[in-house]
Amino acid sequence: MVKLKLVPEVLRNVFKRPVTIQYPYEPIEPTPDYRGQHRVNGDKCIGCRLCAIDCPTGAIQMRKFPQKDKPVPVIITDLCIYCYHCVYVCPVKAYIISNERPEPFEERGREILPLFKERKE
Amino acid sequence: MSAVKVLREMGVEVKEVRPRRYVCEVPREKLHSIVSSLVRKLDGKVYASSIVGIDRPEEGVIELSYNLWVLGECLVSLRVKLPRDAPEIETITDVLPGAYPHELEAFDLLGVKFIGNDKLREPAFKPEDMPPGTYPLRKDWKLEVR
Amino acid sequence: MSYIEIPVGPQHPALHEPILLRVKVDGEQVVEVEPVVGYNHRGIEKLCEVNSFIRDLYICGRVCGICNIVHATCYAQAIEEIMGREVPPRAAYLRVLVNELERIHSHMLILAVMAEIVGFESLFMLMMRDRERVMMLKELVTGNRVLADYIIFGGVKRDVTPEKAEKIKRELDYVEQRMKYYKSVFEEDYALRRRLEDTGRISAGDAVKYCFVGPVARGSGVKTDVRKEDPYAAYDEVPFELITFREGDSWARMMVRVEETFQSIAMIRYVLDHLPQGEIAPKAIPRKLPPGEAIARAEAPRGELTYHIVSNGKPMPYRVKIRTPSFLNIINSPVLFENAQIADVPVIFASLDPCISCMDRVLVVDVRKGKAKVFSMKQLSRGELRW
Repeated sequence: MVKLKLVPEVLRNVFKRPVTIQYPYEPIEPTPDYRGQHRVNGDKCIGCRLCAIDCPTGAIQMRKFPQKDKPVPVIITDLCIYCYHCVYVCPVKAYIISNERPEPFEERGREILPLFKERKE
Repeated sequence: MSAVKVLREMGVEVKEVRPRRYVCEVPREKLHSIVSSLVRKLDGKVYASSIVGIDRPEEGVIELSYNLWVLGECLVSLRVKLPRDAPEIETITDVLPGAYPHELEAFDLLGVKFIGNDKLREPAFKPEDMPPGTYPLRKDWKLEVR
Repeated sequence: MSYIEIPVGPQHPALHEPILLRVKVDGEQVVEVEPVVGYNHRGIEKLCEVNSFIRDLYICGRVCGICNIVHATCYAQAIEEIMGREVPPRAAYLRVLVNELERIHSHMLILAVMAEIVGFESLFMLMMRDRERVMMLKELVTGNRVLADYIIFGGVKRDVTPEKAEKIKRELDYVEQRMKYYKSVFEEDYALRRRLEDTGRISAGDAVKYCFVGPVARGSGVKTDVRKEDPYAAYDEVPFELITFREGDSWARMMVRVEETFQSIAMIRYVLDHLPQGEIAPKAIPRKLPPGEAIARAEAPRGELTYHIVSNGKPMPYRVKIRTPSFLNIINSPVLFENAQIADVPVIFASLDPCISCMDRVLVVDVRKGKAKVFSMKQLSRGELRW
């Protein structure tokens, strides 16, 4: 007896909604654990350069800013692979993580600058 | 019949590095007879896990490590040293036909010739435009990093 | 006598990644098959020699998209053996958890792909819909659906809270119920059995002689599994069964994968119920690599994966050798194609679970100037490839 096993299941699915999400016309909510865009807290950084030495693609450059006497990391988004090794290896936990999806961009050379608290002069 | 016992009976010195890992240094002429005795005596339990080619220019040798896994037992690592300007050794594909991919990669990327294996061709993994005779895994082939 | 040679690939609807199969036919009967590889070669072994061993962890984790956790686990194990470090028990159990999640989604993928190759598109779509639940679990535990970057030297990076453990168990209950239905489809459906049975038969003795690994060997009755014979990362404490089938054809190979999915679900439940307390990683990553040598083995979804690392004391390893399971299974496959018809060629090839990215390792050639250059990961991501 020839058995076609999928026929009852397929007939039931005809009357249900499709499961495909028409991305990007329908939005997808990012889950809280997603490894999204990360930023540096410039006040906490001690300038040890471990993140810049270890970054697999060399996406972190140390640069001097007027708000601090030591160089702090700047993230180049062209090269970043979002492996979060910099977040893990920082001895003072100076990286702020989030679950925002990194935006698509048209020009190259986009950088994520460190965040400093507003100084009251 | 354990693999270590078979090897010791053939006069090979076997060193235990850690549980289930044994290393033996073997001269070049004896490798084929050792491998075929192992395959014959432990019938249906030995296969070639990998053949690793290590280029050591300061010693003037290319070292080949034949890693054979014995089912249910241990990994036996047979080390052979070949002279760097003429690396040749007999093939083991007559006793273990599944070792053909390992010999193909060692020939293509390191330049080791396996006598008796006529299905080796070059280039197999390298792109076709690379001139035959360049062996990328040797230490004198430098990676051009801009 | 002259035969007709049909090239299957490198771009072909039956194959998902670039590989050329030169199939010589006499009418409908296949006489000989020769695989020609190298289209995805990336030069990873040479790349690992010019980068530090910490960067190599992320390079080796990107050899393959489907089994990236297993590559990172095996590399970390080899480096930990050279350093003489032990992994704390909680981290060992968590490594088992993510490795088994990887195995479940990889097996569901190849079962769906096999259904698509024989033309059974409804089954393909249904299995991919249920596989999404497992990808969502991977994102819950590691932070990303595909490239997990979860393993670090001496442990793992993120912990699993009790709420996450409950969610994992609930989703796995749903996946297990659907997999029972798919198992009955693979066992009873008439069209699937006609296409899969009796193709690509190989005996147990030949499977060992021709060095087949993983479900290809277990489908012929060879009792080999790295998790049982050479246990690593808490596999000696988590109970499971070694699945073998006797028939040795494509159907037996797919059924081995179906049964292994059930074993993996049971193992994850055991891990979540018996997670030991303690830390998951050392406070600081070890930064010195002592001289030494290590051979590490792991069981990828496709078979046995080994890393042979030689170090001479510098931070860059002297030699990193990666031998993936698809390397052996694909290049030794011509022996399976005896007495096959043309229509059986994609079926037999897909039953080996080919992962071409795992098998090749790239060189980029500038054809105009006639020079070959290997590009490092840094340059590729900087977009320095200009045509």
